[in-house]
Amino acid sequence: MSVELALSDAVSDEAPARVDGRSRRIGAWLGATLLVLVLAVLVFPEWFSSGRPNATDVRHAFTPPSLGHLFGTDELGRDVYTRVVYGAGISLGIGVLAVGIGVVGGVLLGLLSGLGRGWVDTVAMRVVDVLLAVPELLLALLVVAIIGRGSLNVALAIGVAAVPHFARLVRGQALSVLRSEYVEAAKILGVPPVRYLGRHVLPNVGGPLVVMASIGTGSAITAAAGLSVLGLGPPAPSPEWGAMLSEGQAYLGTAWWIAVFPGLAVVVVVLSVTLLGRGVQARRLR
Amino acid sequence: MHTRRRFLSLSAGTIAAVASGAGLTACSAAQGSPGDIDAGPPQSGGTITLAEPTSPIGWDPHVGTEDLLGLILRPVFDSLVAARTDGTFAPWLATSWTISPDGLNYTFTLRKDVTFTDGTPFDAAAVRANFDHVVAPGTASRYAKSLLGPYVGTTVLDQSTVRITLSRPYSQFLQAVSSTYLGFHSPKALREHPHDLGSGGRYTVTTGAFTFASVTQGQQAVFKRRPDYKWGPGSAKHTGPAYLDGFTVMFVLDDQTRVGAATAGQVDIADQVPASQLPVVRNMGSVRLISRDSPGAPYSYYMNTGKPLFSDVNARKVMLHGVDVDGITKGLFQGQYQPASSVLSPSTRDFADLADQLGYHPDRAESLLAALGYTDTDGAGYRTRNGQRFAVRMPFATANTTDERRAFNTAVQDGLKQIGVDLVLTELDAPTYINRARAGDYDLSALAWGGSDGAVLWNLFYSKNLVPVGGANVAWVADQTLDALLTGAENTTDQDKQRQFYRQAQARVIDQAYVRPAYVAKRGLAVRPEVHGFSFDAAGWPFIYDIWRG
Repeated sequence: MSVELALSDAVSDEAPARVDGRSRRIGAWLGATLLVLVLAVLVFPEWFSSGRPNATDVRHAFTPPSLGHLFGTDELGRDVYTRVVYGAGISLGIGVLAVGIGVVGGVLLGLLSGLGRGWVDTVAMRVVDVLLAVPELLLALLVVAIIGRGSLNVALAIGVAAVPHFARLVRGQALSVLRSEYVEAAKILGVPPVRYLGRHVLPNVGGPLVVMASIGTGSAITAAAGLSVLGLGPPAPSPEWGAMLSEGQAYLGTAWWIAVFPGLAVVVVVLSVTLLGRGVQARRLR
Repeated sequence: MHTRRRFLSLSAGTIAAVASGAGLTACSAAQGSPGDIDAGPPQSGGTITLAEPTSPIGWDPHVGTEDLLGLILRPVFDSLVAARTDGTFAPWLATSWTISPDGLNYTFTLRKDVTFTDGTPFDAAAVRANFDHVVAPGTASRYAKSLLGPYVGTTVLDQSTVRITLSRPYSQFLQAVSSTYLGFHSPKALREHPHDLGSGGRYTVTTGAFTFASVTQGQQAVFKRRPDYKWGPGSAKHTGPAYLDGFTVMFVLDDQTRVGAATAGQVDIADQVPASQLPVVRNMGSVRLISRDSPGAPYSYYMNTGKPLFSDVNARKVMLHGVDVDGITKGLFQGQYQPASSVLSPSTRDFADLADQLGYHPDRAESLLAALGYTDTDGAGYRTRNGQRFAVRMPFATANTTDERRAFNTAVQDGLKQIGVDLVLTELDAPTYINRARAGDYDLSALAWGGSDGAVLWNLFYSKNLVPVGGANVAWVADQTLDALLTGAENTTDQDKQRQFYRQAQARVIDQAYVRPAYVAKRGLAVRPEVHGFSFDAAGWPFIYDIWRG
């Protein structure tokens, strides 16, 4: 779970690797297409499966993938395909919500730090430094341990763990914009801070933030699945992908499909979000 | 750690349920020794490593309740008598014993050559010191004390003769004193460091075939052979010192890792192979799979009769007939486990097959619901009465709910949904769960309970054995008819009469629908080929004293 790497990579000012623009664009389009498909599954799961995700049929437990059950059935005879389809909303929802929390928290903390300078900046950034020193997953585990398990709490935990990353980015961007001549000019002209923050600072911070958020979404989904695998996610019988992976691992030796398909779903979504994010990043740097 | 300690210090009933919950079961009338396929004379030397899922929290068998505690310390603590797998008793530290005609006095003649590892001789005074230690309030015994039952006191008749007096006949007494939990600490240890007995390691001073060398809490416990040991149990296949130089118990919670450690040769025996791994291990050349039914009370759903929802027998019968428990067992466990056909498992003495009263009759369940007034249906498809759902609250603790139980509960939940009943599963941390269990704040509670015979029923259903006082009556049953049957069985030593009482008690329990039995788990062990002489003792535990390494 190299969320940290992915994030710092996302905001580095140099082009991360000299991949040529064409393949990056193709990647972005591929990512976007996959994402549209995933979003369709998320919004209209009933278009993709007529079943009920939690309907058990124990007499047909452990059925291998077939035409009747594309992804097979699990230990309770539930259709794995239907569960993966209905799980999209939960897994993606957690990822997006987590990043949302990270962005909002990061923007607030970063702006406060950038604007406040002096001791406010020092205190805020030392706190951020300390939080950055703790591995994200560990931080998220700590938060879950305090507030308890469940979808919302997992999103909150991952979001909180992502706040320092976003805060550092926003502060850096804010500082450079605040020192620019046009903001200095605005200050001299007596424009209130709220106004120049909204008009000049935020739009300039926005670009890198969008890149970081899109790439971070992939990492957040993986982190959420990870927490679920550890048994901290939404309770059974939720078809959240991480929870499905966790339940399926006991049967890897006898019924591989129970864990493999939700695992693949995580891979596809994270890949498409990341490809899209990288594409946007490349475009910005051009 | 804090959590687990508090967990333990709470209800004995819940804890024993937790212990058996992990698939562990105590005491059985075993059928032979399925794993013993060895040829050639046993050899002395070498060590073996055993992988168990969890570590006992304390190491004093006089205090703890865990099945695992009894299993691990069996080769360390000797008992007065040894239970044979056929239900009879063999001499151990006592060479002979007599029971007074009124069943109130047990007189044991002790061996004269037994010593503790600190040099203290084992004698009548040592027996008295230990039994008095068990019942002393300061010991806070949660299980051993209940084993002693109607214990009044111990009289030292001479150095090697001791009489134990009971206040009423207690047919389980020999069984009780044959258990690890009534084994013997050195009287010197009891005197000099009574508060360290639970720490294990060097504080455990006994007469056993192995000494407790060291313990790293949560990781492993190491045991070494006692070379001058010559007072082994009469139920064993050999006499003299144990064959092994020593053994190590490692604690590996994750099922896959534990079984994998055995197949990879990192440990010699992996205990508690889950159902999903049984066929995998069975087909594996590198280890033998030894499995047997778990005796005692199988995994079952107990209905809290003390709460309004299940105070009515007809409401309880909805649960008895409304879910296809047999179908779930067959599908989920793929034939590895069998559906339960009574509140005792078939390998338990006194078992009565009541399968014909446990049938799946969804129509009957639905008409019962209608008769109870649950005639409307809400938007989610659940039946309601005056706008209230038939909602069954079942909190459970993460720590004592294995993956297979979790899956089973989920299947039951969906099965009940089919007839419009809402099973509300709430996962809690152990302390919160135990607080709720003690307060009786639930409608349904699921557990398995180890035991070798019908006496388990006494723990589970006798009206006074409620959870807050350390009992296992999780259904809060207060049934005079049932109490009479259970007391009748306790007070007689005639095994046929006892069986009659226990059979009638099982019928009563099912007739009143106090419990919906679910499935009979198997205890599976993955054993490396180097391990020879493997057998189960009467408690259903690996008999380490007889094991040798080839």
